[in-house]
Parts: sequence; C-alpha cells; structure tokens
Amino acid sequence: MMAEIICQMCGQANPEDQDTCQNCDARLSPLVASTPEDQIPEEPQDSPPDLTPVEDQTAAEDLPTPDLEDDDPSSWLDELRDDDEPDDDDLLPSSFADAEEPADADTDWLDRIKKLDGESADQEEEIEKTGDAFPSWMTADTETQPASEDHEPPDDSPEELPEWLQLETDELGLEPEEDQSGEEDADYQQLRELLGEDSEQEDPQPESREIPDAVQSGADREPPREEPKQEPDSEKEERASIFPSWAAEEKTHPPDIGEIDTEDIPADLQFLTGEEPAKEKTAESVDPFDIGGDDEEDLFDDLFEEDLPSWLTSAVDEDQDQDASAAISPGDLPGWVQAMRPVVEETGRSGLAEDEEYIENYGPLAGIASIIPAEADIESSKPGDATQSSLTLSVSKTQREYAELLEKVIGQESKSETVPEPVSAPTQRVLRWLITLLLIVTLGGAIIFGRGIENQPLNNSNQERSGHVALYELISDLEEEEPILIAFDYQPALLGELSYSASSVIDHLISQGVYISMISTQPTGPALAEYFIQTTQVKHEYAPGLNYINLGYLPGGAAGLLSFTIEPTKIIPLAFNGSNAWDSPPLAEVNAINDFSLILIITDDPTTAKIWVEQVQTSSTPDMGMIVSAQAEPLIQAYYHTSPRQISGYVAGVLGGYAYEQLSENPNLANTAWLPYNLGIILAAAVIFVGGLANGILTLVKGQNKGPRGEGSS
Amino acid sequence: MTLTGFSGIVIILLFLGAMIAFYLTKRGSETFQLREINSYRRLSREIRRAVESGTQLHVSLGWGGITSSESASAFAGLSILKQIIKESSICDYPPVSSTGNAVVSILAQDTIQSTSQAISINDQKSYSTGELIALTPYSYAAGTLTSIRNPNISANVLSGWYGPEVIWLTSAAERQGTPIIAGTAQLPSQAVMYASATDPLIGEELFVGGAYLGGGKIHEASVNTQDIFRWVIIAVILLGAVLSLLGVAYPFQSLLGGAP
Amino acid sequence: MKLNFRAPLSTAVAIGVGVVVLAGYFIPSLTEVRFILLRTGLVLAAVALLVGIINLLAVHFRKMGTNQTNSGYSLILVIALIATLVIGTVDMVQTYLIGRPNFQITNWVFTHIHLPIETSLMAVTTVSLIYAGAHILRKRLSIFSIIFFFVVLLVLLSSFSISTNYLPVFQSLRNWIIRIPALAGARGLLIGIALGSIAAGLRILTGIDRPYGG
Repeated sequence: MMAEIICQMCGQANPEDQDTCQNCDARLSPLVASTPEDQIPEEPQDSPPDLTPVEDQTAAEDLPTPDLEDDDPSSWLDELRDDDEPDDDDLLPSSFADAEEPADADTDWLDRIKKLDGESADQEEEIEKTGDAFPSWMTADTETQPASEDHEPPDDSPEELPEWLQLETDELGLEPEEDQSGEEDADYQQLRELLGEDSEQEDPQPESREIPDAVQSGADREPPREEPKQEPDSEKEERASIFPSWAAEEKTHPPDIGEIDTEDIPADLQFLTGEEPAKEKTAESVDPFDIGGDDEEDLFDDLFEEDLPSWLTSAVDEDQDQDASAAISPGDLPGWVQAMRPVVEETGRSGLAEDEEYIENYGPLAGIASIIPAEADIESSKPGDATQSSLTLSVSKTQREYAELLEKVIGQESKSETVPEPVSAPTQRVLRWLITLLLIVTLGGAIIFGRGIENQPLNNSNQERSGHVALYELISDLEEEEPILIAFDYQPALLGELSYSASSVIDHLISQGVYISMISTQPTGPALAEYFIQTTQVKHEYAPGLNYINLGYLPGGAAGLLSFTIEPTKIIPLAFNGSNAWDSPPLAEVNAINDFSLILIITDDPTTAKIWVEQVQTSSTPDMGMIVSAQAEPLIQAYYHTSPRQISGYVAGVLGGYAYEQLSENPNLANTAWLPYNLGIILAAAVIFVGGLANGILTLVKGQNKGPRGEGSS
Repeated sequence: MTLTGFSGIVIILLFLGAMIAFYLTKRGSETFQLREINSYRRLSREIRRAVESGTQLHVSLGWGGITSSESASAFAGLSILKQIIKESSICDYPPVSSTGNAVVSILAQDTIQSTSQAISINDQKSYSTGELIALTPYSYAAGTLTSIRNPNISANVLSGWYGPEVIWLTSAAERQGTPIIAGTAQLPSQAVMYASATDPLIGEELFVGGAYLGGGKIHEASVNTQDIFRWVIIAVILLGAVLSLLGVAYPFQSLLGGAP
Repeated sequence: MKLNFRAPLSTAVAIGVGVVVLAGYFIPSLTEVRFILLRTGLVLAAVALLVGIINLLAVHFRKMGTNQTNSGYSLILVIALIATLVIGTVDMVQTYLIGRPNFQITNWVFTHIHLPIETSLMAVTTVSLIYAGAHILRKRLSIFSIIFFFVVLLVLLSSFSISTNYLPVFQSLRNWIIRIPALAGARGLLIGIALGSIAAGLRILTGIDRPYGG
C-alpha cells in the first residue's frame, strides 16, 4: 500500500510523492524541513510522531515525569490564584528562574513575543481605561469584566515566563543543530515577524492570531513570584524534574525508547499523549476545556459564520459579568481562564481535531500540537481560509448585532464617496445688468414720453363671461349707504399692480355711495388701506369714521378670520384710530358678517383668497368679489367658474383693471399705465425668448452644468 | 352637522385610521417602498458633506405662520429641520435656521433645543441657531441673503411659505455656488422655485421630508396613506366626470361643489 | 427623581386644543368652545409677534457684538426698529389720548420709507424673474423645462392688450391655458398639498410630530 501524506490544512490524504495537497494546494512538507527528521511522519494518526530532536531523545529517555503532587487538571490554577503562595511547585529549579542568566540567542524570540504581547496588553489596558474612545456597549464588557482588571501584563524579565515556555528554552538545551541553525533562525524570524504583525496590526484573520493566542495564553499564566527552591542533585535530575510534558509524551511512544508511564503526566497535558485524558473531575471542578457547548465545532461554526473580526470575538459573554475574585474557587474555573486553555481535548480519538493534527517537530515548540507551521500560515493567508479556526468566546446576539453595526459603520467609513465640490455658477451678471437697463430705459421712456399715445381698447369679444363684468354688475346693483367690507390683504411691494387694478373698482364703489369698512390680515394692511384711500380716491373726499372706517389688523390668519366671521364685534371692538368701530355710521347697521352687502378682497396671494372663501363664505354670507394679482388669476378662476359661484366676480391684474375702466367708461390708473405695461411685457418676453434660446443652445453645445445645478428632479 | 362637515370628519378619521394601519402592519418590515425623490437624496448627501467638510446647512422656514394654510408648510419645514439636526449632530457646526414669522421662530427654537437634548448635545453652543430675520416677506428675503452668502454655508434648504421673492434666495445661492433644495405649498412660488432652484420640491413633496430623512415608520405610513387617498380622489374625479357626461346626478356632486 | 412635566403637558394641551378646534369645525355644538380657543389663539398670535420682535432685537444685538462683516446691517436694523417703535408709541398716544388724526407720523414713515423700499424690491424681483426665465434652459434642459419656457412666453405675449387686439388667437390660447391645463395642474398640486397638510396636521394632532418641544 502506497504511503499517504495527510494534508495539514484540509486533512485529505495525498500520495507520498506529492509536494502539495491535491485538494487545497497546501504544501505537504515544511519548507524549512531540510532533514528527514524534520519531515512529518507518515504514521497512523493515533501514533504520536517522533519529533524530538535527535540529540534530545536520549535525554528524554531518561527523564522522569514531573513530580506532580496533584493530578487535578486545575491544580495549576491554584498557582495562578495565589501568587504569594510558594506551594508545591518544586518543578522549577531556581536556576531556571534566574533573571540574571542571559537568554539564549535562539530563544530570544520568545521574549520578544512576550514584549509584544505585553505591549499589546498594555495598549489594551490603556484603551480600556480610556473607555470613552469606544461606545458604551463596547466598554461595558471590559468594565464589567473583573478578570481583565486582575490581569497583569507580563514583564519582560525571563522569570516571568510561563513555566512551559521556560522549559522549552535554553535550560533544556534545545538548540538546533549547527547546520540547521541558519535555516531555523530564518524560520523563527519569519514566525516572529508574523507574530509581530499580529501584535501590531491586530490582524483580524483568526488563523494568523493562532500562534500569538497560544503564546499569549501561556504568557498570561502568571508564574509564582517566588521561584521554587529545589536543590538539584545533578544536572540530569534537574532536567528530569523540569522536563516538559511534551517530553514525557515523547516517552510514551518512542519507537525505540522505553515507555513512560502516562499516568504520571498531568491530565491537562495528556492530550499530547494522544490518549483520552482521565476524566477525574470532581463535583467542584469544571472541565477547563468545556467552553459551554456540547459540540465545539458547531459552536465555532456558529461563531465564525458571521465572519466577525477576531478582536471582536474576544468580547466576553454577558453572563460572565460578575466579580471574578468571588467567582474563582478551587476547581471552579472562570470563563476567561477556560478561554485560554487549548480546546483540543475532546475532539477526536487522537485527542486532536482533525485539522489540528500537526505537531511541531523542531525548535522550542517541538512536540506541541496545534501549532500552525510557518508555511501553513503563508498558505492560509488566503482570504477564504481566514475563518477556519480560531479560539473565541461565545458572543451574544446583542453583541453580534452591535458588532455587525460597527463593522457596517467602519465599512462605510472606509468607502470614500466622491462629493463634487460646489462649483460657483456663472451667473451671467452681464445679462442681469442688461435686463435692468433695458427695463429702466424702456419703461422710463414710456412713462415720460408716452403720454400722448392713444391707448388701444381691449378686445371685448368674450366679455360676457369675464369676471370683471360680473363684478361691475354686482357693484352697480349696490345702493347708497349699504355697508361693504374691503380686505386689503396684499404686500406693500404689490402696491404698484394692485392699486392700478383696484382703483377703478373702489372708485365705482364710492360712486355708489356705500359705507366702506376696511380690514386686513397683514400687519401692513391698515396703513396700505389708508394710503390707498388718500391717494387714489382723494377726489371723493371720503371722511374716516363717517364714510369709511378702518378696522385695522386682524391677527391670527385663518383662525383670526374665522373668529371674525363668527363674532366680528368681539374680535375687533375698536377701529384703527381707537374709536368704537361699531357705533360709527359705516358699521351702525352691522352686527354680523352677513350684514355686509358685499365683501371685496384685494390680495396678491391665491391662498389668502382661498382662506377668505373657505372661512367666511357660507350659504348666508353676502356676495364676494376679488381684486387679485395676475399671478393669482388661474386659481381664482376656479372659484368663479364653479357652480354655484363661490366668488361673484373678480378683476385680475393691470389688464383686468384696464378692462374694468373701459367697461365703466371711467379712465383711471390702469389707463395711464397702459403703454409702460405693454412695453414691459414685450420686453420681458423678448429677453426671456432670446436669453432662453441662447442658453438652450449653449447647454446643448457644452452640455449640462455640473456641480450643484441640474440635479434636481424635473 | 352639514353634509360637508360630516364627510370632512369621515375623511380625516379614515386618513388617521389608514395611517395607523399602515404603521402597524409594516412596523416590523425593513422599510416602506418610497419612490425616489432626487431633492431629498441630494439633501442627505449635502448633510454628509457638511459633516465631512465642517460646514453648515442653512434651513429657511419661510415667513408663513401656523394659524393659516401656511401652517402645513411651516410644520413640514420644522420636521425637516428636526431631521437635519439629528443627521448632522456630529457636525462641527450645527445648521442655522431662519424664519420670518414670530410664532414659527419660537417653535424653531423649541425644535432645536428639544432635538439637541434628545440626541444628547449637551453643549448649548453646539445648538443650531434659529433666527427671526424680519416680519415681512421682502425684508425677510433681504435679511436671509446674508445667511446664504455666508461662506461656511454649504447648502440651503428652503421649506416653508414663500412668495415670488424667493427668487432672491435661489439667485443668491446660485451665485455662491451652493445647492438649494426648495419647496413650498404656495403654487406661484413653486413655479419660481422650479425655474431657479437646483433641487425643487414639487407639490406635496415638501410634506414627506420626515419619511425621506429617516423620521420613522409613521412618516412613511403617512406617505403611503397619502398615495392611497390620492388614488381614491382620482377615481372619484373620473367617476364624477363620467357621470356628469352621462347626465347622471351623483352623491358627491354637492360635496365637490362645496355646497353645505 | 426629577420629573419633566413639560413635555407631556404641552403635548396633551396641543392635542386637546387641536382636536376640539377640528371637531368644532364639523360639529356645531362645539362652536362656542372653538371660538374661545380661537380667541385665545388670536391673542397668543399677537403676543408672539411681540416676542418675535424681541427675538429679532436679541439676534441682531448679538450680531452687532461679533466682528462679522454684516454687523453694520444689524446696527441699522436695530436703530430703525427702535426709532419706528418710538414713533409708533408717540403716534399712538397722540391718536388715542389727545385725539389728533390717526397715526400721521407712522403713515408718513410707511409711505415715504417702507413703501418705496418694498416696491423697489419688487422691481428687483422682476429683473430676477426675467433672468430666471431666460436661464432655465441653461439650468435644466429637459422636456418639462422646455414646456415651462414656452408656456411662460405664450402667457406673457397674451397678457398685453396690443396682441389681443391684433392677434385674438393669443387671448383665446391664454384663456385656454389658464382655464384648462394650468387650472387642472394647479388643482392636482393643491389636492396633493391638501393631503400633505392633512397628514402633517394629523401627525401633530396625534403627537407624533411635536414641534412644541414635547
């Protein structure tokens, strides 16, 4: 039977002669493995490979298992819990903890890793302290995590190294062979660079964090500050007493070396033996590798299917929000400690997950399982493999939602949107000035020199349906001393148009000898009414208080108008001049709105006209006429042409006033404005036509303007 | 109660019921289907740009009051102002608002303060400023020009009641090179805005600002209700026209004629 | 514990008053209550005008304090406002207490200062509107803009008497445009605006939109 090589990446079997996996194209042999000893053994998976360096195998053969007083897997945690307790950790000789002893050159990288991890831990602590840099939902976890407060970043001193890392260093003499040192140094350098990148950049790829996590988890285990005082009998004994568990594992299945009693191996390291760990959990103890789920893989799949960045997956569960100091008890592991433990115990017959069966075969990490080889790291840097494995904690639904939201926000931030700068539009000032000059010259000339020109009469072919005719007939039917109400509801700016439109109509009213009451819903209306009477109707010598009365300003808009319609005497008791309005002759016979014979509204605003129609008019209200600006005519027509008519007649614009004057055969202001008005309209139409055509052609030639213009809905 | 009064109150109650029904039925859904309105899309973009570039938005509320038919425009403008304050809360400079009506200026101040407090802007210096510029239309337009010509203003929003004098504001914005999103319920002014504003809001588009600027589901429900009622009115008008052509008297005739 | 009664109270008052006024429009028995509320609103609107003037003064006083380029205008505004207020007060005293002809000085100010300014502003508006009409095809070249452009021209040409005499077709065309398409379009827009107004009003009546700080 042809030997097969199991791919470390995907677990597929490959022929022996293949260099790369047929399934995932990962390299089947390490790039740095230059010697046959370094090759991954093609042995059955339940048989641990012989990966011990040749020179160490002899030593390992004679090594006794560490003298562990307590087989409880959680016993090492007691050391963590009580730093001051010298306890029974006679495992480490004092020489190992000697800080003065220079570190071996080949193992110096571990210190650097520690430095990096220490720095990152310091940075994390700083970030935690400045919690305002994060939203509250993020800081809440760190603040409510007592374990993180107790956690101290590891120092750079060698004695702070965790024991399992110290054991792997120079004290064991695990120096590579001289002929391989260069390659291995390069390998270590490559690995260190990866670690360095991970520490600095917080690479979100979970796989790339695998190694630093492992190192970090080891570094986080605080070693006892008082180093054990053990008198070494001999160097061999010393080595035997401190030899790491992986070395003991080597002894369990050496191809040609005697067996090691695996029962002497601590339970938490028995995974290295490839056997099921002894399940000697007491009632108080908690399996440190139980992360809360029945099926680890399912749990991890659930975690990673959201593709959360690894830095976010370190967020702890909300359930762990409790005081760690109170929660920690012998055998009762807090969740954060569980998180640091390798999760390989209950995963398979060999004690390793199928995709974690790679065991380091050289260097200080030799014999440690679940270490991603450097070349595998390179291969696995493909984006598709980024979420295959990682050590994470469970994340609640709320946290996941927050994480998604944050990712979305960050993603949007990274997407730059090109916002066009506002372009100052060419305003064609020349055209503006040209229009102004043309209007001034033309209209001024017409006013000054056009007095002798005879006005053209309007075409009266369609007069019977016109609003001004209906209004004329309505006013003609009024009798002397009948009270009428006139609303001056226009802006002073529109005086030019509306006074010319209304002068002949008011003149007609006064000629009929009616009493006039004036009101306005505009603050400037009363002054406008006085001005109108005193300038356009001065020939009639109407006296205020006797022939007409100014009721002043009616505040409140439509609401005020409605109130006035309901109770006019209560709403406006006094006239503009302070007299009692309702005792004056114009209003002597008026107690309600229906007592007026006619309501005439002068306005430039179609909405104001609409309000008067809606709020005042009922079935019993008097006739309503209107004098409006030309801009309001299209909307006013609707009230005139409906059946029954809501307004009885109207005059619109200067043209309507001119028509009214022509009808009443009483030339007034509109007649004097005939020539300038017509010339102005011709000029405006000409400018718009010429300018519009020129601009249209320019637009067609040059294209539409960019920037703020031309983007509106059309 | 008159027939017109009865039909009016029925229509209003139906409108309210439809709004609530739309809200309740689509509360859990992602979002309502709303047609695209370029002006609001532009407004959202301008808000983002103001945030990025540290500039301000100018919100003009017009000179209409709240006691007439201008009130709807004023309230729509206040609703848009509220959403803009919310959206631009992280802006270095808060939006400025101006109005030409005393009551609306008070409401604008209140809207600014309550919205700023609701989104936890504690620094009162970061509040938007609501200014009463003047009390007549033309003086308001003249006074608002200084706000539009402020070099730190990157966009203008006109949402309220205006007359033809709004051409001043749109022309000033054009000279400044800043976009102007303009809407009013005053029809002659809509024509002016269409001719001069970069992004005019036509017809009832002014009243849906809350829905398009993230005001919430109830705003979107009200937009859907408006659409439903519009179709109903179209159907009634068509039916009335056909019946009139056929010479058949129909029950809505007196209502449409405005008779009591 | 500090309770904020302002928001629910203002909301309740606003909703209650709105509902009563609205119902009073349709239900005759509520007319009296509605009238009382309307009168109250009327007084409040007048007071709001005063508050607005104070606000106006405050704003421009603040602007005067800064070194803005337009602070000079604020100074002119404040001076004019105070001067007019003084003149109005003196005039009011003379009219109401002494019995002289009503508001002579105020009318003089209105006629000789306010009115010319406003009409001049209208003239400037005319120039701006003509410019906008000429510029629309530069701003937005679309089928609707072209229609807009030619309708403006047509209505203008039919608005002066010479054309209606010599070219009666212009007047007929103008009348048709105003009575059919313009009116139909305007009514369509007004219906939409009315629906929007109802929606906005209902949102305020139900307290969904609360521009009164509730």
